Amino acid sequence: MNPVLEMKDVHFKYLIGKEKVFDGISLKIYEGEFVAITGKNGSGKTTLCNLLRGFIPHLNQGTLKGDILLRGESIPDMSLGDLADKIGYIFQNPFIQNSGIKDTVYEEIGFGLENLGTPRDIMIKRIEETIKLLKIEDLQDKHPAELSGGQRQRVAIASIIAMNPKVLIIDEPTSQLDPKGTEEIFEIIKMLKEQKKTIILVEHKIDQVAEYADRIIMLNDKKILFDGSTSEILANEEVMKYGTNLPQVAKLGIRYNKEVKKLEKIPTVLKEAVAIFKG
Amino acid sequence: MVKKGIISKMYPLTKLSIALTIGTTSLIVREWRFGYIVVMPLMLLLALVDRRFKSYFKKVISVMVIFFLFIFLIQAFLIPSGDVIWEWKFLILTVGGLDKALTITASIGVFLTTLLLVFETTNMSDLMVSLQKTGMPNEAAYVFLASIQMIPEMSKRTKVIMQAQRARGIETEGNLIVRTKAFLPTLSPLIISSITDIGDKAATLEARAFSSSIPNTFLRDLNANFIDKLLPVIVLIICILYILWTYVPAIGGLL
Repeated sequence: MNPVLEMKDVHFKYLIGKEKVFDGISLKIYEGEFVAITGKNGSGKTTLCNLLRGFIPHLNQGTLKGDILLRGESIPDMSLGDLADKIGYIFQNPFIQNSGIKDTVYEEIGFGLENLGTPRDIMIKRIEETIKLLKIEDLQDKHPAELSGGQRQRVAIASIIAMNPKVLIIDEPTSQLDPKGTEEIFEIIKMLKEQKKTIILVEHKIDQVAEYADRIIMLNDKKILFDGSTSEILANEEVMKYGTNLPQVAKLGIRYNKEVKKLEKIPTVLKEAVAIFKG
Repeated sequence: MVKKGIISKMYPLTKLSIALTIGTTSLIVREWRFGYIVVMPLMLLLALVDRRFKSYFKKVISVMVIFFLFIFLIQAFLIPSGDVIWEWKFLILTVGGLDKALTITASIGVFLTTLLLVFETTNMSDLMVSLQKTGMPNEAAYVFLASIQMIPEMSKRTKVIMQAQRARGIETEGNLIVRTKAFLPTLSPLIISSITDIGDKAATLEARAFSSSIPNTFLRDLNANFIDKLLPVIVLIICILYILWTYVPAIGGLL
C-alpha cells in the first residue's frame, strides 16, 4: 500500500530561527490512519503540520531539505489553493479561523466551497449536510464573530469538512476550550474517524489520544523519538521523560506491574483497565 | 424579517451604476437646481417608498452637517464676486459666491445622497457578488468586506487593550493631556497585534482554498432581471439628453 503522506529525510530551519527545527525526519502515513503527534512545547509539532499542509514553504519561509509527498506528489511544488480540498487544516486558535467577511455561519461554511467553484446546488447540499452532521443547526443563522470559542471551533471544523478533504490535520483543536467544548470536538473527531478519514492530530490531552488514535508519533530534539501503535507507546514509561504524560490508567498499570504482579498488557484506556483489574 | 422595498430588491450593480451616472451628470452640468430640486428630493422620496426613510435621512443629515455646511460657508464667503446680498462685519455674501457654493455643494450632495441610498438599501456582500460576477477580483472583494467587518472587531480589541494598559497603571481617562499620553500605549499594541494576525489570517484563508485557481461560485443567488438591465440604460439616455440640452444652446445649438 502506498502512503498518503510521506516525509523523506526532512531538514528544516525557519528563516529567522537560529537552530534547525527538524534534523532528518522520515515518516509514512497511510489511508484511514489516525495519527497523534505529541512532544513537549517547541518540539516542532505545529511546524510538522505546516510542512504537511504546504504552509511551509508557501507562507512561512525557511531552508527545507528532503521530500514531502502527498500520494507521491511533492507538496512544496503544489499550489496552496489546489491543496485545500485534499488536506483540511484546523488551527489551534478558534478566534482567527473565520473568513471575516460572512454574515452567518451558514455562509461561512460555504466560503471554501465558493472558492473551489462548487456549483450552487451542490454547495447548498454540502453545507446542509455538514450542519446536520456536526449538529450546529442552532448556530447556522448567527454571526461567526459572535460565537464562543467552542462554537467557533466547531464552525471552523464544519467549514473545512464541507470541502470534503480526505486528509485532515488538526492542530491542538481543544487547547483553548473548556471540558464541554473539548468533548464536543472529540465527538466530531470520532465521527471523522468512522468516516475513514486520514487524521493527523496534535493534542496534549492524552486520555483522548489514548482513546482515539491508532498511532502516536512523538517528537523530541529535532527528530522522531517514538513512532508506533498507541497501546504500545502509552504503555512505555520512557515517554514521560520527554514531556508527554501517560494516561492515569497506564500509570496505574505500570506501577501495578512493578509492585504487585506482572500484567499481560498495560491498559491505556479506562475500559481496558476495568476489564484487566476485574480479572 | 422585514419585507424588502422596491429599491432594496433592485440588483446592486443597477443601483450603483445609476447613482454614478447621476453623480457624473451633476458634475458635468454644474447646475445647482439639478441637485437641490430634482435629485435630492427624489432620493428622499425613493427612501420613503423603500420604507427606510428614517435611517437614511439620519445618515444624510449627519454627513451634511459635518462637512457639507463647512464647504458651503467657505465657498460662499471666501471668494466674493458680483453683487453683495448680505453683509455682517467681515462676512460678505455675494451673488457669485452663493452661486458657486450652491453649484459645488449640489454636485457633492448628488453623489452623497445617491450613493448613501445605494449603501442604505444594499447588502454589501450582495454588492460584492454582483461586482465579482462582472470580473472584479476576489481579493478586492475580500479586502472591502473584511474592512467593514474589521471595524467593530478593532473597537472591541481597543477596549481590551485599554483595560490591559489600565491594569498596568497607564491612565487612560482624564483631561486632554492624559488621554493624549495614553494614545501611544493603546495604539501600538493594536497595530502590532493586527499585523501579527495577518499571517494567521492568510493561513486560514488558504485552508479555505482562497487562492484556488478555479473561478468562484456564489452561495448568494443574485441575478439581474430585464428591468435591472434596462433601467441604467434609460437613466443614461435621460442624463445624456439633459447634458446636451444644457450645453447645446451654449454652443449655439438647437434649443
